[in-house]
This record gives sequence, C-alpha cells and structure tokens, in this order.
Amino acid sequence: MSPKDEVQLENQSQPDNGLQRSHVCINGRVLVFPEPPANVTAFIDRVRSAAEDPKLGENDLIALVYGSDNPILDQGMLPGRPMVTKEVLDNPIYRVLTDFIDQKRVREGKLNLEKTAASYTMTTQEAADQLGISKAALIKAIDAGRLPVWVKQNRYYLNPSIVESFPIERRGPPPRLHLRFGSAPGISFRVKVPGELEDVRDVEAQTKEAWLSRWKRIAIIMGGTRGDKKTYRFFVLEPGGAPEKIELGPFFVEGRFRIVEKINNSAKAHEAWRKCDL
Amino acid sequence: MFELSLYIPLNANDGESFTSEHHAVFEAFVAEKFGGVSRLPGTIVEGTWIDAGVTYRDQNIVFAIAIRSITDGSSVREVVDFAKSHYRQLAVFVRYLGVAEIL
Repeated sequence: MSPKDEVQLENQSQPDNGLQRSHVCINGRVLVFPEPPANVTAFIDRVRSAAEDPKLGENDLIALVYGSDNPILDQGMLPGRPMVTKEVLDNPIYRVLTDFIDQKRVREGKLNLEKTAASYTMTTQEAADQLGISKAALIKAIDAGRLPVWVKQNRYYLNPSIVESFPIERRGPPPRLHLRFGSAPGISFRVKVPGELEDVRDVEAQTKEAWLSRWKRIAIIMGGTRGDKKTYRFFVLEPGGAPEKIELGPFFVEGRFRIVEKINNSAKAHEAWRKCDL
Repeated sequence: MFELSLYIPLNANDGESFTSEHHAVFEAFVAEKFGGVSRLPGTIVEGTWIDAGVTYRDQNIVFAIAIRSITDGSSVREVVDFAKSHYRQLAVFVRYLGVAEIL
C-alpha cells in the first residue's frame, strides 16, 4: 500500500454522484460528505462563525454544538437533553461540528497542535499488531471514528496510550488463555475466572495447568514472602491485544489479553481480590 | 430513567490535551452501552484531586448519560473503567440521584 493510500481511503469511500462538501480537521483529516439539508448547512455555518468569533469562548461552542439548536442530535431520547447517539456519531457532520470546538480551543491557546501531534507516534501497522487485528480492520475503525489519528505526511499515526485502551469487539470466541497456577515455597499465583476451566491437569503438588476459552474478565493475585516482607500484586485482564504473559516462577497466564487494572500495593491487592466479583 | 454525570478532565495528568476525536471514542463507547450521551452545555468546572500526596488540578467537562434503571450498574462500571483507561485517570467523579462518588 503506497503512503498516500491510507488517507485517501476516506475520500474514496464517498460516491461522487452529487454535491459534496469537505472539511479539513485540525488533525489533518479531510471529511467529505454529501451536501446536507439547508437547516444543517445553516447550523454548520453558525458554528463556524462562533468558532471564529473572538467574543465567544469554548463554553459557548459546547453549548451550541450540544444544545437543542443542533438539528443532527437526537432530541427525543431524553427530554430536554439532546443526545449523541450511534447514528449521530456515524454522521461526519458531527465530527465537523466538534472539530470547530477544537479550533476554538486552539485559538484560545488551550490546545497546542504541535504538542498534541507529537504524541501520535504509532503507525497503523504497529497499532494493528498490538491489537491483534488486521490493518484493514484498524483502518475501518479509524474511518468509523472509533480511533483518533493524526495525519502526518499523508499517513495516519495513532497515540500509543489510546491504542492501549482501545476496546476490541471480536466476532467469535475470545482468545484462549493458558494458565498455570498454584503455590510453591514462598510464592503463590491464584486466579479467579467466571466460567469453568478446561483440560485441567495436575502439574505437580499444589500446581495446576488449564485453559480458559469463554471469558470476558479474569482476576489474578500473585506474590510471595521474602523474609518478613509480603509483596502481592493484583491484575484484572480482558480479552484482546497482542500476545502477553504474566508470570511468577513456574506460574503464568499467557494469551491475548489487556491488563485493565493493576494494583502493586499488597494490602490493596488483597482487598481488591477479596472484593473482586467477575 | 435518571441522569448520571461523569466529570472528565480536559487534559491528562501529563498535560496532554484531549481532542474532540478522543472524546468521540468515549462517546461511542457510552452510546453502545446506553444508547446515547451528551456533554452538558457550557460546563467546564475546576476540580482538585489529591492522591498519594500529589495535588492534581483539573478543568473538567461533564458527560451526561441516561440510565434506564439502577440495575444497569454493571454497564456503568464498564463505562467508568473505560473512562479511567481512555483518559488515563486514577479516578473519575460521578454524580447521580443527588449523590456523588469518586470511582
């Protein structure tokens, strides 16, 4: 795929069979969409003027974009509170309107474009590899607005910390986990799982090995005693991401998972383990 | 049905600013769970957090979520957990039915 292909994907997705408008976002993305109805066009122009008006601030933009005058918001879901629904999020005009809020923040010196752009360092291939999905699936998520990007030299770049927290929707069963847990002199490794373990076998005294196929979340507490000092850590894992392994001595959990919670303080780890309800 | 307010900082603790695209990812997550979300118009409030002896000062925006029933608690938990990871926060402030919690 040539360097220009990634950014041009969004433009190519729009059929050129009628009037279209385009908007260049602060992150370099170009949004192309069909000419909207007159009332929506008028509202876009109103928000643009407000973004450029030095007498109006960011709060004014938020009030306008999320207020009852915005014709693309859902006005019926919660009386008196216009809502952003999935349909609204799928509408490129919503992204245009919220981009004007960012433009206002830039003008007010609250959003530093150079500093923000600098945090987008991950290529699409790197992000796809980390998430354990195909590059095509990643581009699809980007085009759907589910992953923010920054355009540099006609390529998409992603923020590693955002990629790390990206919720992956999987079709089909979650990735299988391989576990070895139990206790050994001075150390222990315990797991809490919501369902039943498979292929459980005794490896040696106080140690079991098993697999877990159907899971949304598991908890681990591991640690041990050195002298008179106890050090325990608590983790909560969810499916997704690149292959990972958490291990302590002979014990481990390995597979494709993300750590969604981690506690390194022993007392807090035990408290979290005690309260943990999967 | 009742409304839950979730206070989200404008910037991460390392000073990085969150763009509207970043907020849209969170909005999509909430919309998937509860059907819709809103930002309270014109609301950016100052907040102060103290954690482990370090003081963090935030400017926050407030998201409003329509909760169908108190039995939706597990979905609220998922939204809070995602908010914490997506916005790289130690905790988030929520307000509902006249009470407030730091989760």
